[in-house]
Amino acid sequence: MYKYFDNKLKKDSVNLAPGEFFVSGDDIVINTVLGSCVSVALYDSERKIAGLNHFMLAEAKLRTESENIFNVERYGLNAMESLMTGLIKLGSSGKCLQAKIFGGSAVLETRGGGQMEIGADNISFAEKFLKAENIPVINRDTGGVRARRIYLYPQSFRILLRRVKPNVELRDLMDVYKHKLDETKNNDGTTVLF
Amino acid sequence: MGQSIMIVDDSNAIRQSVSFILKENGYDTMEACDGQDGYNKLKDQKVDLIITDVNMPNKDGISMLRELRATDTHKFTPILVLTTESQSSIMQDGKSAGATGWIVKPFSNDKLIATIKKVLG
Repeated sequence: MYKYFDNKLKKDSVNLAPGEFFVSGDDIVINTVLGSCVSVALYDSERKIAGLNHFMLAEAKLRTESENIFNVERYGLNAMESLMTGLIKLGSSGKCLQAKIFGGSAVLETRGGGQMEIGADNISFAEKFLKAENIPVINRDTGGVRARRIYLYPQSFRILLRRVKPNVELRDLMDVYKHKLDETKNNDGTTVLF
Repeated sequence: MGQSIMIVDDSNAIRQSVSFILKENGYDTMEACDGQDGYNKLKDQKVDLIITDVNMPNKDGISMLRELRATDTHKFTPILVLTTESQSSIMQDGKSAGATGWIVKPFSNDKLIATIKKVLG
């Protein structure tokens, strides 16, 4: 994540890398570039605060029909929970939340390839999570074959979206993120007994 | 009948996930949607174990924990905190409030069950 002043938008901005999230009630812009990854933007209409995450499932297609998706997909779950927790820390009651979903395109963006189904799985996970939380999805721009750059204005929940061609920089980012997921997908967080 | 475990978390998806894992391993589960709901349901209700999140609307997990420890019912009930929070200062707050243990997400099913078995003896 890096913070900078966007000269075109004339706003303080936060750029998210894959795996990151940010919440704010300030007059800023939160942006990220998405290929097959998904970003969920959550907005608390009461508090006028919003947040954005950027994630990919670590183990798409591992689940069977009978399995609970939330039981398998702990990284997606963590990405969503971190975003909701961020809003709660800024004072959200969690009762007036709305969502927008972006990304999940079928773009072959990692050097290993084979990412065609991951985008669809990422979208499906986000939808199932939001349904379980009873959070309405009021807008979406998902799927397709182009990458996206999105800009979130947290105070108004306005989103600017620009379609972009997958480039070397995006591929490198995805490679690093995918490698990190592969390396850590079996790792647990710390457990301490007092 | 299995041992009873109360899951306190504001996320339906997390409760659904944890409950699924626990039931698969033979435990009976109950759920509460935040610290206040958890306190209301637990103050006169004995359970074998409580698993709680930290950051929740209405009442956070640490405050609930502190209040439950002040009741006769839950002076000695094992309470595990299951959270994305890993800051040592927050963990210390949990310990001071009377938490039995602290599990930082993400967690694997095996790790969660092993920790529960250890705590329940």
